[in-house]
Amino acid sequence: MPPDLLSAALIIARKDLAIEFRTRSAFFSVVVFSLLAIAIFYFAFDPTAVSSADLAPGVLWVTFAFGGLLGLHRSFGVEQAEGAMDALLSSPIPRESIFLGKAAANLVFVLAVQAIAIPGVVLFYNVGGGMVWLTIAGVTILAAIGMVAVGTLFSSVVVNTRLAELLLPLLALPFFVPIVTSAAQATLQLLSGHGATPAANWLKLLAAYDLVFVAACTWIYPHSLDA
Amino acid sequence: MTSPAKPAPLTAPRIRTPALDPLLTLGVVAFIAALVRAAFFTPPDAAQGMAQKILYIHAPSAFTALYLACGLVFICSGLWLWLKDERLDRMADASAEVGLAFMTVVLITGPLWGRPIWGAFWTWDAKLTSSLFLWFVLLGYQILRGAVEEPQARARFSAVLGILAGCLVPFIHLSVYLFRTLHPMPVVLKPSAPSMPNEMLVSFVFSMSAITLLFAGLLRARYRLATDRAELEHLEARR
Amino acid sequence: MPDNAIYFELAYAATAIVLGGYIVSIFWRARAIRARLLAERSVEGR
Repeated sequence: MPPDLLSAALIIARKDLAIEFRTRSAFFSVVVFSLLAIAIFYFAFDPTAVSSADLAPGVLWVTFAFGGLLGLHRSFGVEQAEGAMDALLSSPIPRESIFLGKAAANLVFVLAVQAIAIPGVVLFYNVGGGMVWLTIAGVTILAAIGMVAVGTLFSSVVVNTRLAELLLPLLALPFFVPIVTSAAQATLQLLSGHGATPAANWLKLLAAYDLVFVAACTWIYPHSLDA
Repeated sequence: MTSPAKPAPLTAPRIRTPALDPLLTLGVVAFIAALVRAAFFTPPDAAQGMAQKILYIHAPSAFTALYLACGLVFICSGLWLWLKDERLDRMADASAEVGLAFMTVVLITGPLWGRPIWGAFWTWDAKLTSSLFLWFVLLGYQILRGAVEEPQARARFSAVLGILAGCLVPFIHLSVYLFRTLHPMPVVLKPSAPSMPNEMLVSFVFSMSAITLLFAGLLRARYRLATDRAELEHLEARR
Repeated sequence: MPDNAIYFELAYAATAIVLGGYIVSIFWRARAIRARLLAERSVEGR
């Protein structure tokens, strides 16, 4: 009996994470990229004009978007070798599950990168906050869900084009605009101690984005495949 | 001429001859007439001066690009997923490209009006930002189409992008709107729209119709190009 | 009345260049495609 939607997705996610865990190549490249980007951003601004704490949210979320792109393109790239994608498609699992599983694996990947990048920002930019970071962890999860939904879908599209990974940022970045804006603004509000109320509007926007794009991408993914 | 051509297969579109598309010609003539009327036979605005005349191009182009072209891309993409008719894909292709041309006009004329009237070429206002990112999405749409050889795959991928882009626009608009309300910007001199004098209104309606007509003409010419290209791909693939 | 005719002139010229250039681009591409199409058809018909 073929597995149902979610347990099949879990199988795919575990497979992808196992590959990633055994090679660890992409994870370390993206982590190093993120830390490098965070460090370089510091020198791109005048620290006497803008306090580094005010800079931190922007740096964090821009790095998040670019680091995410770097990791996402590999998601379907690994299936290109030896016709793995064809094998995956001919297996008796719903195609929505392939998407959800891939997206779930990417979510774990992106969150693991953020688990290192956020302390990096705290350290390099001297931002305090204490317990506020628990709320920011929530912001991260909401932002990451929307990002991997769109990014996973575009990753599956671009591997079949001539330009491959060159095309991914071009297509995906406009879709990251609401995510980066909301996440950076929410983080800024939380860090500047304005409390949760101004941040709540941004979180609502992020949640709505997640809802719309997870549903839309899951529904549309099978249509992007050859019938 | 050699032997008579074999009847084309049913899927292959038939040849069309006119070199000068009548609808496009009409659109171009109407557009030029509208520009001449707006430039030379319409009084300049008392408060905004000659720069106000940019409105006659800017607003109709924005309407055409945003609502006609992008709406058509979104609708054709959605219908394509359902009906899988290649004509819908060609229509989406054509309207995305024509929309890109008009969106470029919008993004050039907008700042040229904003500079003398607002005092800045660009402000990160919700409408401006949405237009800018929509322009980027339309550009990405063209690059995506150019990067896929196989017609079926090209249609699938661009339909996916067309639909997702439709979902994106409200979010960009909303996030910029929220951004602006949290960060009040220095008040720009934003003249409230006065009731237009009759002469200006006639010019505006004229250029609105002319640009819509030009859009229809360009769309048809571009659609024919897509049809010819599809037939060419079809013939080349059979060899 | 403010003197800002230069912006109006720039905007109208830019519009003419963009749309005119686009029409020419469609025209040239259509011509090239049609030439190839007719050549391909004559091969087919033989």
